[in-house]
Amino acid sequence: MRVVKLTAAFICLFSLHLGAKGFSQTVSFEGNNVPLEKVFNAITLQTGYVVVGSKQLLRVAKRVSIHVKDSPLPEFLEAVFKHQPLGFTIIEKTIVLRPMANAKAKLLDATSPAEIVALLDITGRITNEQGQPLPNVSIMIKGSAIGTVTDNNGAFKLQAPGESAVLTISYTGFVSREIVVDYQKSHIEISLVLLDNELQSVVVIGYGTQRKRDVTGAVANVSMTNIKEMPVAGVDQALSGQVAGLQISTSNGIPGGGPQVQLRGIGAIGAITSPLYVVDGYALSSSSSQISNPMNDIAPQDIQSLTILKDASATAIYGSRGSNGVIIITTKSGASGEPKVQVSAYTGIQKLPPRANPNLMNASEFAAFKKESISDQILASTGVEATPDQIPEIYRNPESLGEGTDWFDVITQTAPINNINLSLSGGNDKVRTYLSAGYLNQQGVVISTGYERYSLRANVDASLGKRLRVGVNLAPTFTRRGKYITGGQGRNEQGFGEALVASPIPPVFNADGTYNAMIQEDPSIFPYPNPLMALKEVDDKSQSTRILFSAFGEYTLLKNLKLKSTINTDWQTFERKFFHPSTVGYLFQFPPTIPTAANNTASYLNLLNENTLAYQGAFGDHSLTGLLGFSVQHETTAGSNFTGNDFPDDDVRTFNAAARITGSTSAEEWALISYLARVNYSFKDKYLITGTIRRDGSSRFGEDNRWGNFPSLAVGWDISKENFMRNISWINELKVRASYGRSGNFQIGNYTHMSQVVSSNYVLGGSLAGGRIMNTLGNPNLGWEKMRETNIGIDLALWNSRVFVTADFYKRNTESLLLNVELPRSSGFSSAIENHGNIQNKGVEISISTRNIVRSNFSWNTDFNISFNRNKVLALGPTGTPILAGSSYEGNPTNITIVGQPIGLFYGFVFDGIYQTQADIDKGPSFPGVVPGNMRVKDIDGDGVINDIKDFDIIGNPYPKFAWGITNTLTYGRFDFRASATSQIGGNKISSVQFTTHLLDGLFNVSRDLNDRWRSVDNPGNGKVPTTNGTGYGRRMYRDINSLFVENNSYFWIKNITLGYSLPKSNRIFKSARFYISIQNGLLFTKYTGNPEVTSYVEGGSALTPGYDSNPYPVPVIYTLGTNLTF
Amino acid sequence: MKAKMNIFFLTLSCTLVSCNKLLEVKPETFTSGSNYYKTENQVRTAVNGAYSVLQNLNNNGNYWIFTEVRSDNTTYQYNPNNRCCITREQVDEFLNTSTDRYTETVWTTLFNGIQQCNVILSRIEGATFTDDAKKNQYIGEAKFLRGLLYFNLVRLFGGVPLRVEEVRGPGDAFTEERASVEAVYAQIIQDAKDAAEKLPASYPGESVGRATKGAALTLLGDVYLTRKDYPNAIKFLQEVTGLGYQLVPEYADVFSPLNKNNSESVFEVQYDAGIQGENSNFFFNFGPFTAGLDLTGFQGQLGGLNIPTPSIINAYEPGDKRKDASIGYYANPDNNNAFESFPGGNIPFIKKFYHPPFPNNGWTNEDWPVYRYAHVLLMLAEALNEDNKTGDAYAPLNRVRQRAGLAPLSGLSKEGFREAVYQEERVELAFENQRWFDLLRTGRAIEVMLAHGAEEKVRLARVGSESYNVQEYMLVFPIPASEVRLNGFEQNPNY
Repeated sequence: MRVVKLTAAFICLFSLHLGAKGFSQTVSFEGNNVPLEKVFNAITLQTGYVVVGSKQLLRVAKRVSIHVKDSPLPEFLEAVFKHQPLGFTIIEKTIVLRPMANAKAKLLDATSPAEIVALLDITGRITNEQGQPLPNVSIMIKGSAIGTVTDNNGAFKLQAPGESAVLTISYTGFVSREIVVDYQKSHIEISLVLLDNELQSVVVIGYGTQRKRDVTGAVANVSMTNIKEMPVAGVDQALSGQVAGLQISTSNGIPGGGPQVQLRGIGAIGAITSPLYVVDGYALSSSSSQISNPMNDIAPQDIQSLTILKDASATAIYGSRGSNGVIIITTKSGASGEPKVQVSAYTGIQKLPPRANPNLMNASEFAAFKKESISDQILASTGVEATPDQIPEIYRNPESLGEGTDWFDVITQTAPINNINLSLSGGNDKVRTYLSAGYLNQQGVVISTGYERYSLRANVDASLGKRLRVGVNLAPTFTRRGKYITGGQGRNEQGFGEALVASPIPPVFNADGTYNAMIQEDPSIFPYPNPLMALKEVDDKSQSTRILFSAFGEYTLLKNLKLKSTINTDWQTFERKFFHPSTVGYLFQFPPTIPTAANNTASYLNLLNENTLAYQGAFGDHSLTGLLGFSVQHETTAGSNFTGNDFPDDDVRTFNAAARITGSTSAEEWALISYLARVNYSFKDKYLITGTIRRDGSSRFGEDNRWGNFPSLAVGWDISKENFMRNISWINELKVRASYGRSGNFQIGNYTHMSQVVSSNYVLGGSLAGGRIMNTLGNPNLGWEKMRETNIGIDLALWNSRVFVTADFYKRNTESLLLNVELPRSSGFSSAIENHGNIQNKGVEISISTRNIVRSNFSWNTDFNISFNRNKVLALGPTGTPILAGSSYEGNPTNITIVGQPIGLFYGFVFDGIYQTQADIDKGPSFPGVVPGNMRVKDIDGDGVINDIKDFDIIGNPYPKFAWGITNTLTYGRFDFRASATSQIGGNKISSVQFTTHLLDGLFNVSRDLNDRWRSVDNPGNGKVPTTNGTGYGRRMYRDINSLFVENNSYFWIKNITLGYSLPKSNRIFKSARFYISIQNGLLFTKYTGNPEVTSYVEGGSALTPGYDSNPYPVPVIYTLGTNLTF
Repeated sequence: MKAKMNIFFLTLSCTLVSCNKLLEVKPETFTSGSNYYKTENQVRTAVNGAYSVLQNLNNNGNYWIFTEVRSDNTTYQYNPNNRCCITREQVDEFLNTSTDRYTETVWTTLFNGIQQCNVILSRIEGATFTDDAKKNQYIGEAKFLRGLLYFNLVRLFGGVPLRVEEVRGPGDAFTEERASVEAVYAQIIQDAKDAAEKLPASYPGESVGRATKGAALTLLGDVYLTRKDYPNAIKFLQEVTGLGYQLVPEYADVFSPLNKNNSESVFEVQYDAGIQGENSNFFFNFGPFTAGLDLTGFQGQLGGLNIPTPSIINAYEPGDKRKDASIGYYANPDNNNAFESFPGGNIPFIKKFYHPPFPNNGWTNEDWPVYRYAHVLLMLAEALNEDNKTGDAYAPLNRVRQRAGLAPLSGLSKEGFREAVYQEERVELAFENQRWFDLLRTGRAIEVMLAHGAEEKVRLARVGSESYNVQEYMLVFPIPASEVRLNGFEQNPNY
């Protein structure tokens, strides 16, 4: 260990010397082959001089044989050190040992009294951040062996030489500091800051906490300092690039939206793959999606810590819900002491980067495109050049039309974002309180979208008497939203998708200032409703209320035995109101239209009761903790969807004005009963073992397969505590871990195992005849999806804990996969969910945290992580038949899942150039209606004719080779700076938006890429865009799934840059005050044409259709100015 | 909710047994299949549900694509701008392949109906009935429907998987082989015979629309006629004639929504635009795509998916009242650009299923005729003639002609009579999903369609040279590719 530890004996001697007076200056000693320690003891006893030096120095010392009487001390020392690899220096009455080879150690020489005069007495006190004294902290004079340690009061006393002296203060678990000795100030008060990600720190695990050094599973603690102040609604968005193996995909930029969160690859197909969220011990039932996101209901400022449980050993305690990982969130609680008031606020703007614009044609380009494509068509079909009057008038003079309307610009804006969070915490020994209130207002960069959140939190805990502790957490949140737009292209998106296709030629407004309601300059193009008008005039507002409540009581039965019982409720309501007025048209429908309205509501109530008995004990070298628990969770959900039709006008928009109302209501429930147990045993803090088991019974499975057991076992060995490691001073900690366990996934429908007999009415005798049909096939044997995972990990702390490395190797198999198995349609069903299949994810995760520079006025820390995951399907369905999934605009599958390959590879036509001439066509392969200029694709089945699916092949892999993230944090004086980036290398996406923007049919506006289309043999364009001619497959294949629109998705994205400045602490108003500027989503480096983080398997898709990019809501760059004040 | 709360808070002291009850959740938005089909009432609603599958076929199931558009009666209206859904057009021009999604939809819908019938038939013995007559009736209805669905399948696809038992779980869903055409027909005949035995000849008012004895006998007659077993066809069709059916005096009235389940109706699929979710939408799919506002009063494009050809328009004899009742024209200057347009900008449309005004956009009120008495008479005429009883065959044929305002026929040779009955079947039953099957049954499909294709190539510049290359193998449609892939059985040849 580099941290110099003095032997207990020396410390003892050192304190003796403080009061030593009147000792003699001579030494007498008799002894053969004695260790130096013994000699030094004698010196101290006889002279009062003490000897200090590191233990390591003494280790190299040779034994001596001395026989002297009343020898003067200098002579005696000369004799003792004669053949030693050590030197010594006498400073006043201290003999300091130094290595002989070290020239720097010759700071002082007993023979240079002048310098001895310069010695300075320094006293000081070392505390932690809370002001509590830290004993045994090492204080060394830099470059020498001079040093001491603090006493039980954190106090120390030292004599430092020279003006240039620097004190190095180090203590395991805290950030080391260096202090320049100031001659004006002989007393130093220093508080040390706790290290993050440190093996010593305490981490929250399922149902309790553990010292990080005792953890045997793969558990990642998120550094809250690395993600604070990011302008995000939910903390999960801030996790991007922070944790190895945790992939956060900001699929769209809708205010208040949620990212796709994926741990260690896709581990499920038929069930949802998002992790379990546990907030203050409460496992929430709802999972994250692109719009609804449980993390958005917790203000990030209220979060104290975030822990990611990765491997089966860590997640098995959550049994049937753990297989996709667990994210544990602990909110802040009050601490005893003076009340502390904190204000966090930021304000900013959100602006779309230029790359968000789809780069469509302007008015004159589009008119030229129309003109030319119509002329080309006439020439190709009649052999005669088109005459001007065959071209619609509007397109005859393209240049005269100018720029026209850029609809994307019209519907987007620079939008403000504002957030304020106020908290009050404090308490005494008996009661501790944390209260907070927050308000977030994020308007949308797309007009009429936005998100507002009002949140409150009260966390109170109290000790009632000596044995009972009780607490309550109450967190109500109220949110309001504007339009629901996650993306889309062209149909019924109330304006957003229309902006991608509406013609650039017509203006937004008529000459009289009214909206130009339908965008169509010529009957040959689709008439779309005005995108801006649709966004502004179609009402679509929603709001939700969520109240999270937890209460607990903990009773100490015996000294080491605690009984804890919690009751938790999660209540949420949601309401969405929609009204489409008569003034806004639809595709092909000009206004006035018949007004319609919709009203959707949803509510759910989740109840959880957990009871645990926890034991903690230690006997000598053995320490043991144990946990037994019983838990019951139950949820009811209810919803309604009503449509009001035939409103007479737009004035009254509530349902009382609807002439016709249709709708439905629904109700569902589920329940989960669990028994759990865990034992942690450690011997000498070196050998660690953890065993966990949970038994879950779920209502979501068939009666015979309802119960599942989820055991895990993990072992750890703290090698650095072994004696043979004592000599390796640059390794501070070294621990290896290995675990094996099972966890499950229950995120399927509440009633999937039942065959559903639903309403399907008929008419008999001219009246309604109630009818029922069986529309899904039940599976009474449906059971758990079982994840089996092996994890081997290593934790390392190096070079005075300046470098921390954690590496994990894992292999997780999801067996008895809940799979929606495709069935032959002759069964009357298209699919049924079964336990069939096996997916493997294996990978490596490495996290490295370094403290590159550690100075009192300048520090630089780096957190780096990298993860490699390989996904492979080992078995699929009863027969291994590949699964085709997704649906292109032509109704063809987009992804294929094959045994032996990763899930959901892209599947489509393989572009093979463009037919230049008829002779080229005749060489084949071809298809009915082919003309020169059409695209040629590979004839996969070799029959000479191009057909859907039969000629499809694998055209891309949606998974990256690896993903990495890096955060650099610098502080310089009162300034602090942080930059976080995330990156993926390798992998493809299908830029499916281009199937729309590259439409050759001339029905709507198109990408500028189409200017480079094939026109003739002499004018072949860029060789990647076919002709607009032909009526057959040619144009259609280009907008069906094909390899042209499969792009490389590698990217490097600097997600956040923050620069802060703290005011001096002496300020009377604030205890602390800091101001900062921040840029979120600032710099993106990629060749991919769209948002490289888009995922398509949350809404409207499944795990089987990854990487299908459908024009998501654009992600803005957010510039904010913020402050954190503590009073 | 309150009860749930109580259960919940009891868990602290709950025993294992009471807790486990919490896991037995009951669905509220549907009924679990294992708890259904147990009472008379439940069986009745299940039978009603089986009928509802037929509604899907002719609404968005696109069934007419395979029976009318495939034939020489109708085509699609080419939309030069919107080149969506080419594969639907390919069915018309004999370019379709096994991956066509419309083929799969029809296959899926037909088998979905069969599963509904099979569930009823597999479980009805376990259900409690107070009235055995009802039980027999439900068995008869399910068997009639199953027979009808298989009859459609076997004519479209040839041999298909033959399922007569409920699929109880995923393990039952796969079939290693297709049954032979003979085996499928044997099952159809068995089902139709059982149904004819069990079904009543008529129903009281509230049950009108259910399959009757007459419907089952007609199905049986049609099957025998298709199998060229003329004596049996005659036997059963003649039985139908004794059941009191009457032709409606005016042909146009047969299809009017005001005249549902009329005296001529043997079996029709019931729709009702006055009942939420029970409307048909035929004209909105069939009509010229530009005709939305003019013909329906609603904005938006119509489907343009089922447009009469000159071939059918010219097939009517002069003076045939059925022509005007069956075909209308839509005139619009924009139509001049349309390939299918007639001189003057007229695009023909199917008028049989056009009865404005429509209550809502996309809602029509017509029923779909499956078997009409006129059809029974024509089948009887065809069977008698083929059975060398041409003399007896005139009466049924002429009753149909008479209603159409045409002179009775007489003195024809057997061959001459055959042609006459084919002609009569074509115009009488135009657009009623019979034409393709008639061509198949009478062995004329290749010859007629090649001739029709040649005409269309001349008329429609959009029809390419590779279209209408009608070959023997095209007389059955390809089995949907997913079916072949999952079951691993043989595809129809050349697909």
